[in-house]
Amino acid sequence: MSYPVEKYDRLRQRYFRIYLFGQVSFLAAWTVRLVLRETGALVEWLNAALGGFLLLGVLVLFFSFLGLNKVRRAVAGDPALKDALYDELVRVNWDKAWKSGFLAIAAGLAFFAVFNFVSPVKDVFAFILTAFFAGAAGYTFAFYRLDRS
Amino acid sequence: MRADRLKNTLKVQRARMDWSQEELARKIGVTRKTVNTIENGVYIPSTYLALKMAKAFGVAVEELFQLTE
Repeated sequence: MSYPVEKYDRLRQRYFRIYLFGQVSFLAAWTVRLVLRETGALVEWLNAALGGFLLLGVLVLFFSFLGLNKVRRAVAGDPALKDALYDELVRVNWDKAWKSGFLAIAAGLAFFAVFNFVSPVKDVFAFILTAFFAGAAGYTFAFYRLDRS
Repeated sequence: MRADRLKNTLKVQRARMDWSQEELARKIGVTRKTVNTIENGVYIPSTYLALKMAKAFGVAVEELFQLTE
């Protein structure tokens, strides 16, 4: 009989990959749109196209979040299975990924600080929000990479 | 601590017991990936997990993990 944890581990990794794709799509479209808007270079057709990517990102994030939640619920009733799926390596990788997430926030803020010299920032809140999105994507990417290695 | 300063005999012990990585993972309650990363020296397990492994193999933990010179 195969070890059920492996099935859930593969499923978790698959949903996490989709989740990462959603975050990267969203972050890329969001950042490009923000930079173009701030520099006054955002034309209507490009705004609509980037809006499409943003929507795609949100839908992918929603779908993969449901999938990850499904995996979490599937093992919730079996403590041994849950402990094996979220074993110490996973918990160590979570902690390492957190660090990468904070570094990504710092990198995002540094990028926008430099951007501010080129083109003074008008919507500061949107830039701070973008740095947080970068942090979330950095966390997801780091965990995905660690989980694969 | 760097993983390359700690060697292990997991592969030898598994061969002795004729266990796959998945079988060992099942016995100690982790994923196969965790066993694989420990065996390849990528990840250094906690004392708790090292003791669980030693118990599963029926050996002392020093037989499983040794410091490299």
